[in-house]
Amino acid sequence: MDSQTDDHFNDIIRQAPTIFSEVDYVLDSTPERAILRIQAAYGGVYRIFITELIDTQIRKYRYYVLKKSWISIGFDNSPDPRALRLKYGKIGTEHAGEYIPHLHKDNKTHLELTEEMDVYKFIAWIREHLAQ
Amino acid sequence: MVNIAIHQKYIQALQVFGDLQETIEQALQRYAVERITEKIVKLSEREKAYQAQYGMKYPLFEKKIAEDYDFATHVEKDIALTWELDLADWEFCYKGIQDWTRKLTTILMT
Repeated sequence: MDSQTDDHFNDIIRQAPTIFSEVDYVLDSTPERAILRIQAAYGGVYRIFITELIDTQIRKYRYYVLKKSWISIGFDNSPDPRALRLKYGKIGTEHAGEYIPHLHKDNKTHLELTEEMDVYKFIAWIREHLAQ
Repeated sequence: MVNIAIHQKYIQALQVFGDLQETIEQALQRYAVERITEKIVKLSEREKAYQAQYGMKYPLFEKKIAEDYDFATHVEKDIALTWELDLADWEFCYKGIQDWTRKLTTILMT
């Protein structure tokens, strides 16, 4: 893990308990990539899942809020075929595997394209939309 | 090369086994191999659990989930609604095994 990724993950780990409760995290790395996975609680009813996988080329993120097993919101940039269809109007091989920032809501019955998210924007979204 | 301090008690003990530089390098190599092997074993265990859960190996899942609308729908309905969380960790395990195996090969071959 390079020092920039190290600092980034350590900052998230430091901040998490100041915003969430019941924070549990796993940090793992190899010579070429690192992953941080956080599970926490918020507002008594929400479960928060934060995952960032960083390698030399890209930051892959998942920021999810669940209420029991119901997905309230889920921001991620995984190569989802439904996000591809929304962005390009079709699912073609030319864009397969492309990382497209998007969000899922209403237990994944709705998908929208978004700007690139980071954990700080996610925390701001939580503070704005979820009752503490 | 990096210079590090080694406690005198280790120097005294290892000098008995011959050339100090060579002995310490052998000791470091053995330690690195042991730690990397532990990493690979743990990643393999996690990776196998994902394989069992999703019924296929990582490269096929990664390809299908990115290209096949019906497959994504099937996964969310029948396996895991939050597959994206698993996919990130699964990728880390799968590629992490390759990362550590390359590092292990480098250590053993040089």
